[in-house]
Amino acid sequence: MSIVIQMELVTPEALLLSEEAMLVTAPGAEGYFGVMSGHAPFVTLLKPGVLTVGEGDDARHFVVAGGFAEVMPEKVTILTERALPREKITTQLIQDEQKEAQAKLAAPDLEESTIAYWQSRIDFADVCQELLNRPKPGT
Amino acid sequence: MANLKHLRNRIRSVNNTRQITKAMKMVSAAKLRRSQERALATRPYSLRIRAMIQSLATLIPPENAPPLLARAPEGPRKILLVLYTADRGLCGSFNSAVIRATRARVAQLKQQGHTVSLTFVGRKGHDVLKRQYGDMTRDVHVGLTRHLSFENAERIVANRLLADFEAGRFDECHLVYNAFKSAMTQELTWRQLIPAPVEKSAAEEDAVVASPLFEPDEETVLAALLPRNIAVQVFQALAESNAAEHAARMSAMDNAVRNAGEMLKKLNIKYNRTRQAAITTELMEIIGGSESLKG
Repeated sequence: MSIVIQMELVTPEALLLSEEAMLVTAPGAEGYFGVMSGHAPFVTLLKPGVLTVGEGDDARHFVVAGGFAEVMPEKVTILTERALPREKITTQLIQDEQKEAQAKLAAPDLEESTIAYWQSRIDFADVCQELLNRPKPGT
Repeated sequence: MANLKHLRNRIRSVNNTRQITKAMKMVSAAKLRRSQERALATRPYSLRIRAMIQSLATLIPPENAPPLLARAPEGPRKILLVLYTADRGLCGSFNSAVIRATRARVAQLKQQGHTVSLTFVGRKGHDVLKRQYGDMTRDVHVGLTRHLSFENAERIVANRLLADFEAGRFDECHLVYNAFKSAMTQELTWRQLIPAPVEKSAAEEDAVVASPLFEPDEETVLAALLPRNIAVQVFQALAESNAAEHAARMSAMDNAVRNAGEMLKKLNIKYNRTRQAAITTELMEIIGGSESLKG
């Protein structure tokens, strides 16, 4: 059995990442979980959080909105509505996100689905902020 | 001479048409490249999520299946068709293919005793069918391809479908759109959206593989997957249709440019002949006049 696992990060708009990794850590609905090659097959819901591909200093981080993960012994597929690599996250972006979402939520008579949608945008921004606050690797 | 002037005007107008169609072709070609990339990029997610639903559907006994998956009872049903057309014309048979297919399907379904309603994504389909099926129209969504995004597809179209489904306004839903095959060809595609189709053969194959674990549990995962699947399929059809539209317009405009060129060539020959004939006639008159003076 190979020691690396094939991993795919897919959003409705694009296949963002398809590569091999030693370890993938994802934000499952019931807590973060790590996947390595040979993992037992399972399917889980994801909550907004940080997806880590690789380990140690080489690890790459993505913020993902909710979605699904499908784990097979040789492959893990992350399906999410939205994903941002760490490099693309800036304080400006987070502030814009939050401002927009809060402005929309302030409007009266919102439908339930609309509220849920903008709330999820705020959650996403919060996770971005949390990732940004983490110390940079190697420092 | 009236005839010459007339020809000159015709030449000018055909030449203008040729230039416009050429410009439109170039615009479409540029847009096609981008929209093609986007359409292809939507496929992996759409495929994966359908595969996941397939494997889950086989694990859940039919009597526990959620409404989005459960097969509607036999007999007359309320069926919603979602048509994807362009907002604009001048793209060959792109729109008419969808419209023709819809007319045939509506007639067939009505004959079987079903109630049919229509939702239009894109202006053109509605423009053509509103007179015939005006009372069956549920929604018209226009301008979605201008800023193609999953967010919009989900919020504007998919959530609306889900709300209507939950309210019991329809119990079966199909999409019809032009799928992008290549820059030259589009393929008219029907896709059943609600209830999510479960293929028997796939079910049997999957049964051999050990079923995976589900977290938190099968029902919860499935309940989250199904609405998401609707949004994804709606978005994918939109992206495909958009790419196909630009491809169709590009080849339609290419034909138009070629036809205009041919017409121009013929008109030019005719113009030159007429001009030559006029000059000859004038010369004959002058010569004839001077001959008679001599005499």
